[in-house]
Amino acid sequence: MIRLKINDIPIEIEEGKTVLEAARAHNIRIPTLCNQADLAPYGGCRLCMVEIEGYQRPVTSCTLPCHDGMVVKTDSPQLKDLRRFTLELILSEHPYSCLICDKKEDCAKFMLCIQKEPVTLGCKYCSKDGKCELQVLVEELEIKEIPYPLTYRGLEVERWDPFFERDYNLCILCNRCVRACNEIRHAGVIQFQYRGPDTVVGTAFGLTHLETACQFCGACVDACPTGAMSERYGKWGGVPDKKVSTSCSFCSIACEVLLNVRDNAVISSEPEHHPLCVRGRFGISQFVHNPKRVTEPFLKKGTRIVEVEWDEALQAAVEKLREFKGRTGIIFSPNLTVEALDALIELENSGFGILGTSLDSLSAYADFSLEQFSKPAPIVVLNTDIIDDFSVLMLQIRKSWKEKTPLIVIDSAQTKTADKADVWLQPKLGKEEDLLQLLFSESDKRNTTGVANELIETVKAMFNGNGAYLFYNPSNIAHVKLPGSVKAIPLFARPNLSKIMNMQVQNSNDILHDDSIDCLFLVGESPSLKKTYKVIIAQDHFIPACGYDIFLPAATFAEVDGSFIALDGKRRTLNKAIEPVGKSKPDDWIIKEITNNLGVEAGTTTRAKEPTQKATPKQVKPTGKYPFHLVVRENNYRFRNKSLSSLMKGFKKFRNDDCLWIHPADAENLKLKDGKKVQIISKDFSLTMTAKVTDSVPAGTVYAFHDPSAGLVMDKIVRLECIES
Amino acid sequence: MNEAFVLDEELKNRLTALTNDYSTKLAALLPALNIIQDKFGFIPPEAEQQIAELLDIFPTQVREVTTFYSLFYNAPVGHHKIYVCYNLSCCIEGGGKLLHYLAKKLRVSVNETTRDGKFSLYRTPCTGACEKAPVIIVNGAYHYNVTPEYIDELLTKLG
Ligand code: SF4
Ligand code: SF4
Ligand code: SF4
Ligand code: SF4
Ligand code: FES
Ligand code: FES
Repeated sequence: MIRLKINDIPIEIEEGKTVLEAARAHNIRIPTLCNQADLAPYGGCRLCMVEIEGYQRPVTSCTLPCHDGMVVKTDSPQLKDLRRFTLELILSEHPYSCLICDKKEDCAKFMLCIQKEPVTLGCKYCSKDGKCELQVLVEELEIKEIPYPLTYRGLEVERWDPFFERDYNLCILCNRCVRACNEIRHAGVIQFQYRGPDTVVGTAFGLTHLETACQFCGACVDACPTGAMSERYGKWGGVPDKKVSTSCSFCSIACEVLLNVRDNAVISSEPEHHPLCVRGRFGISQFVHNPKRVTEPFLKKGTRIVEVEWDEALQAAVEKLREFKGRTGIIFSPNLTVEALDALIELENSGFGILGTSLDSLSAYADFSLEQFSKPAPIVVLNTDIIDDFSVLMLQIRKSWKEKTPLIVIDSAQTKTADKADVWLQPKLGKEEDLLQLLFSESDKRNTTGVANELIETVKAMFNGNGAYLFYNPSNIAHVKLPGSVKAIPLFARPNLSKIMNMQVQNSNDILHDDSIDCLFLVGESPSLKKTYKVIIAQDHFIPACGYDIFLPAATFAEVDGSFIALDGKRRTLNKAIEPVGKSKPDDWIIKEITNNLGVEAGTTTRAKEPTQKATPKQVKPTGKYPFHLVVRENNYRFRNKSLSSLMKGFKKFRNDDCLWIHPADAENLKLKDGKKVQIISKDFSLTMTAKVTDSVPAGTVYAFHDPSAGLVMDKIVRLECIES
Repeated sequence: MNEAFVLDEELKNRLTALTNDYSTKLAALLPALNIIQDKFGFIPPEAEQQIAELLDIFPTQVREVTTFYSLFYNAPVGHHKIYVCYNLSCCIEGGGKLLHYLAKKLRVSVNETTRDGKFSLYRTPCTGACEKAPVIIVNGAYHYNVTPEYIDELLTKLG
């Protein structure tokens, strides 16, 4: 423990803390700009200057470690002058007219300025107005005028990337965005470029963020104290009335997220305790208030679709369920709350229908906790693009590790993660399990994986007896015997696994192939249909691709209280941030209403439930008629019945999942061009997609993302036909 | 990638060997860039990319350094690089005039390269040799008490 005095207050603090940290721990305010608690000290803005007894001149408190007997002053008049001077200099290159305007208090109320001051720049024209750290400091340091002429840099505003835009004319070079990108995300996308008055934040070679390894996590945007970086959607959302802590439901990791709410609308979301990914940071507000969202009940009457009141919609649903009693399939999405799942079990128990969900990739799930990863070890990633899909998990696991361990990717396709990996092993399709066997056990099996023996030996040497962590995509791997030193975690994209396994529901595919079923009740899911149904009841945020007769608008996860089970097997809470939009209602409410109105009939027995067995998909070899192997990848950018890229432009640019990845040689043979439509035909389905020609997939194999509404559920052999050239 | 700027094995080995002299790989960046500039006359973006891979750092980190130092060139420059000191002492002794004389003679402006790619003209702040003002630096070598006549001679010598 170290004892020091700050402004005559005796303070005790553990060794290694800076003077700024000591002051903050005791609520002593020191103005700062470049400091951010979760980033390394930088000492760039010079605002945090303090006086130390015995020191000749003031020093920056953010970089100065405390030592015993220190006597610190943080608030002398000289310091205030010094800080004011520093801030004036910083602001000489920042549009400052509004900051020092004597009418600024009344500006918003009376719009005085438009008539009186010739300004087109400044706080009133900045999305950061009211949330800006510069504004706070100008108030605090009582800056009334700035003795320097304004230098406007005249840089082009960078509006060409999805999710956020950058106006470096407002940048004060605090370096927070750069450090956030490097230290929090290890992404290294931005750095300062040039020097002196030319210094500007930028990417390598002037590439757009989309062309770099940017993950669009928004850590840089959140770090920026000014309006230089701003979110595209909702940047004019204003100052939030409240912040609500809840759990992001877009993927199974279920991060804690803060929703910024104003006038019963989610204007943006931000990380709470640990970083978010692009979906949680930029997707939530756009999802909740998506223009495609439907928030009123609709009913098909004859050939017309009419908006109705809840009573009528529920009544219609109940009547149909009665009519098709025992002939109804209830297909639900795993993206529901536990409460909604419980309500579904009730509904099934009332004997009106059978429950099913897409179980194709459900195999053994594993609970885990982050503590189990405390020991650094090499990370092996099998058939999953962990950097795109589970970046947050990787960051959390590696956060506590001092040393960098190798990242080994096993994948037949060259994913983003494969690009970043220390070693990329490209086994032949279907040989993944053999490769694991060769890597992890002393097997004397002949190596037919297509991966060179030397490479396997190199990787084995990396394990070095320390074991490894294996993250694998559960959908195309059954079971591999692994030694105890290897901790294996299947990465399921969807939550609630343990719950769903216990529900012992049917596989939705069996229901869809069951001819006796005439009515479908789709709760958050939109499967590809094999036959026509007499009635389809859809309960969701968006109209399902398969159409509907009764539509029941469900409230999104930002609008409900509840819980769901995350990838690690633990429960996460959902806290209602806003009232349900429009007439939408929580899923569990809708299902309970239906169940109550149906009335449980005495003595009804539910259909005998056998636990669904997962059939190991047989590897089918491409034939003359179906020469391509279609690999279906788990899609972590899908929520309920929609892929995020079909709802939001940014995701379409960043990660378009409506495309078929095909090797240039194959494309050439088919005379297929990048971005053109291609028809995929297999024994039992046909589908049109957009081709993405890339040499990151092997020839003879095409890749697509899991999409039940298009029938993309498991690997198949297919034929391709070019329908646009 | 432009084939001309692919680093050959020998160069790569030299760069890798450099890293042994420093406690971190990042620290080898400056000498590595010097080697590259010696070889190509400037630092091609392709080389930056390859250095980033060799040193296991992000390409932006290389960019940060190459854009920071004005003595690293991001595009091809003249064969001979002429720097004219433009600070007080030299200007009192006619440094400014020298700069204009050179500019006129080479028919370029400051920071430009002659069409034939032979000369690039720059100005530099004080080079620390005020007592022998005016000073110019040509390809790293100092020339003191420079006069227009001296420049004529020098340019003919350099061809
Ligand atoms: S960044 Fe801050 S100070 Fe600058 S214009 Fe925007 S709100 Fe005003
Ligand atoms: S969005 Fe994330 S990865 Fe991209 S530049 Fe910002 S911090 Fe870096
Ligand atoms: S963009 Fe924002 S965070 Fe980055 S250096 Fe400029 S002011 Fe700081
Ligand atoms: S990692 Fe998953 S839970 Fe976390 S923010 Fe992204 S989508 Fe949401
Ligand atoms: S906070 Fe200390 S120098 Fe910026
Ligand atoms: S001013 Fe030219 S060398 Fe000092």
